[in-house]
Amino acid sequence: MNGSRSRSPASARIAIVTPWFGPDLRGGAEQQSWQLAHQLAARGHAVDVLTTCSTGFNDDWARNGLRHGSERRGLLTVRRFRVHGRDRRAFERVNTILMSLNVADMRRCVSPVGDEDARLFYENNINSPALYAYLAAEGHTYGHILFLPYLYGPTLFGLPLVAERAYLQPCLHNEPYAYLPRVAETVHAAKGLLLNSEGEYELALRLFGPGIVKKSLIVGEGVDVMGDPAAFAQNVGSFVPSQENYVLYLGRQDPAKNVPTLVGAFGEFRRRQPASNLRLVLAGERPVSYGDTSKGIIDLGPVNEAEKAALLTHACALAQPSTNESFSRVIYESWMSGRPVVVHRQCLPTATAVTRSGGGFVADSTASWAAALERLDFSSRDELDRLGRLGRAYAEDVSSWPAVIARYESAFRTEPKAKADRARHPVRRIVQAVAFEADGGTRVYADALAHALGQGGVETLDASVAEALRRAPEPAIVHESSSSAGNPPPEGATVVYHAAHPNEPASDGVAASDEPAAHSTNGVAHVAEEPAHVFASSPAALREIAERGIHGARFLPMCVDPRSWDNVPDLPLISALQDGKQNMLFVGPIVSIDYLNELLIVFLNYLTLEREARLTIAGSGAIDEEVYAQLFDELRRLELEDRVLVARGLNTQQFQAIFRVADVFISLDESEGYGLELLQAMWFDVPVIAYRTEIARELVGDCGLLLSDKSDLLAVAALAQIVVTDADLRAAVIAGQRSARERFDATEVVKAVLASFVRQREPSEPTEARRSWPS
Amino acid sequence: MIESANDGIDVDSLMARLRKRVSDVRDRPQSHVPLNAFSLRSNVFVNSVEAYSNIADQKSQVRTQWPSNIGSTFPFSVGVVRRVSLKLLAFLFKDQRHVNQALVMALREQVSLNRQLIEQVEILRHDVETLRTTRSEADAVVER
Repeated sequence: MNGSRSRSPASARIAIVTPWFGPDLRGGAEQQSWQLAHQLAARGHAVDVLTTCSTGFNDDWARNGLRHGSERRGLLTVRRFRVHGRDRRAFERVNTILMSLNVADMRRCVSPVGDEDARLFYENNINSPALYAYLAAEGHTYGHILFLPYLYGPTLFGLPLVAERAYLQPCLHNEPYAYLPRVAETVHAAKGLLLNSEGEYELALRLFGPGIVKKSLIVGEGVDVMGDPAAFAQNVGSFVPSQENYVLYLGRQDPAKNVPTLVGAFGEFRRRQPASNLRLVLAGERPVSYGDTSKGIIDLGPVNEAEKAALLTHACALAQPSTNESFSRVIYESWMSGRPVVVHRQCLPTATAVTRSGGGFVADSTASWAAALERLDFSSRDELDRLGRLGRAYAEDVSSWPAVIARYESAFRTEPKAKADRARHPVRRIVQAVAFEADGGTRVYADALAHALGQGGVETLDASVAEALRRAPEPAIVHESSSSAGNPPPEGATVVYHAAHPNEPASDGVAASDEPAAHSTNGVAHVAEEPAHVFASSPAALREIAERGIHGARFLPMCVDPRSWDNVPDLPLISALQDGKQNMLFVGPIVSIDYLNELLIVFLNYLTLEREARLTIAGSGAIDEEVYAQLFDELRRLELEDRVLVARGLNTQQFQAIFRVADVFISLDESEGYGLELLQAMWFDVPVIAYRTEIARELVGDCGLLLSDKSDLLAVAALAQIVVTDADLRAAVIAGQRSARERFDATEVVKAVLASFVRQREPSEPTEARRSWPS
Repeated sequence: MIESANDGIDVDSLMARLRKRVSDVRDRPQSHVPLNAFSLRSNVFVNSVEAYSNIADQKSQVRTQWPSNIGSTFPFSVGVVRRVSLKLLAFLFKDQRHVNQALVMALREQVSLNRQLIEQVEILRHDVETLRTTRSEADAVVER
């Protein structure tokens, strides 16, 4: 089929854990696991499939219809484990509740059912204690264990047993099940997430937050299509595809697949265009029939591969009305057959694919589906062929098996690559010293750098400058500021220079501390001859040392590691904040009442535009108690106590909760800090509107919205409202922020720091002072 | 006032929208229009009625597949028996099915009518508010 049989470097034993496994199973995840297992094995990987003795999704999940034990199936080893008894009534009761819920009413991280019902759902799902015992005992013998899909017992109970080597391919849909607490716990526990499509990735980000970014990879899904037209069926029963003009629905004819919307839309289309000969053909298994030849709806029932290929080839277009798809194989099959598709706008994975490819249309309401059918009916064959070609070009890139398997292999190779990166850098341990009376922000900066170095496999040892000197020539990072005194840093140390008063406002572009300090630039002066060793923690610090004639330093932003959010946020808080109100957010130091007052006035103005809104002010870093008290006085004076949430001393989970639900981040703060909050907002995909400080220009200037003038606070409020309500503008800002945050990523920071130690051993050429990051 | 180097953002166009928005807000009369709670509540109610009618519609279709949770023992484990039973059921309940479908259609018409009425009520409420504002402004002028 593809690839050689030679064993690739990434081919440690691979286990695929899935509830059902067999060649005749028709479900999307079942077909995916079958094909994936065979493709990986054909590529030379040793693959075990760990599955249950249950015969299929539509059969009794407590019945062991297949023999348990191990069997060799071609290149695969299939191990089947017995399922255990379950309370089907209890499961059905909870399942009915979950199915009846409207996904639009779901709140992120909030369980759609009570704890007891959720427990009944997990425990009476398809479960195999024998499989779990095997994973616990033998899981360590596999290099990589892939679980799919997310919803069933083998994943929910099996994955946590082998989390350190577990990859989850969730096949995620935006459905109430995805909001169950154990699903989130399983996603966060997995070592890696493999997603079928960009849309599924976006959905996963929305549901589980930026903690999953570093461990997620979009692998796509391989789709095989029948290539030989001679093998296509000429007819399907009495229906002859080549002689008909029809729109095709291919798949389970089930209300859960939103077929009634398509059928209703087709009825509407027929009412509008009674003379049209366009028909709707439904092909696939069905518990009930929607066929009605008098209305032009033809139900062909289940079809074989040859019939499917003929139906796809001759169709006018394929309709996929389902809103619960993580990939939708049929739209790729349609594109590979050169036919356009119509998909549901509310299904992110399919809608994203159509938008990216241009290979069809999106529709949501019954009226818009009817309009899409009219458009198809009016389009010439050439136009439909053109759309089909666009779709095909996209499908060939996303869904060809060699490309898909290569992406799986790259995911499995991640760990060896990290080790190889570490091997390239001889530095194993770094001594870190702060040479001045550090404030809270500097301490956070140093700790974040140490944490990021630790993630890169480099141990950091906190010490004094004197201790660093004693340990020379051990690599050292020394944090300096204009107030540093005492010993100069050890020879060869990398110096990170901090502005003197990062939380005080700069005026007219002049540094916060433009008066040279008595003991200024001790360490910086010492190492200035080797510019590669000097970093500045903020643009203000960079300018400060440049004014003292030291050039060649580079800006080293604060390390933000999104992996610290790979867990569940504070549930009561995130639940309370999702009450239908818009959430405006400011996080930062509370050291001046001026910009807080401005923020409150902006919010007051905002309330005249959007009545249902909330402002959250979360103190982070320095907090002046007097200012904090004044803030509450202002809230009382403006009668905003019920609308503004003020908090301080929040833990990581609470910060995660407020960022996850924020609609816009506003900072009118004029002080020059480290920009930690701006970076955090960018990671949480919260559009940033910030006053144009130097740090904001550096971090947000290329992607977000900066305010050069905040005299008109009504205009600031109106801008916030436009950003919150205009989906296109919001998407543009978020896309820009995503590319910007990559540039300031902790991995890049660590690379630059480690490179500075390597460069010490190499002759360096003088360089111009650079403000951009990275080099 | 706004700066951005993001290629996806047309700052000039955004500024124009912003100016218009601000001028709209400054020019509009002080409004006391209550929240559109009535409309929201009504729509939620109508949506739930529509959801029930959809369920009824789905359940009124002809069943062609044997339910997995009933009758897997003999003779219902035999395919022919299942098919005959399904056909028999479809025949026996044909009239009932037509009644059900007619009721569902009637309910959907009701839903559609209700939606139109809610829209009309909203328009009327808006008109009343506008009249009230105009009258209070006129009263203020008379008092002066």
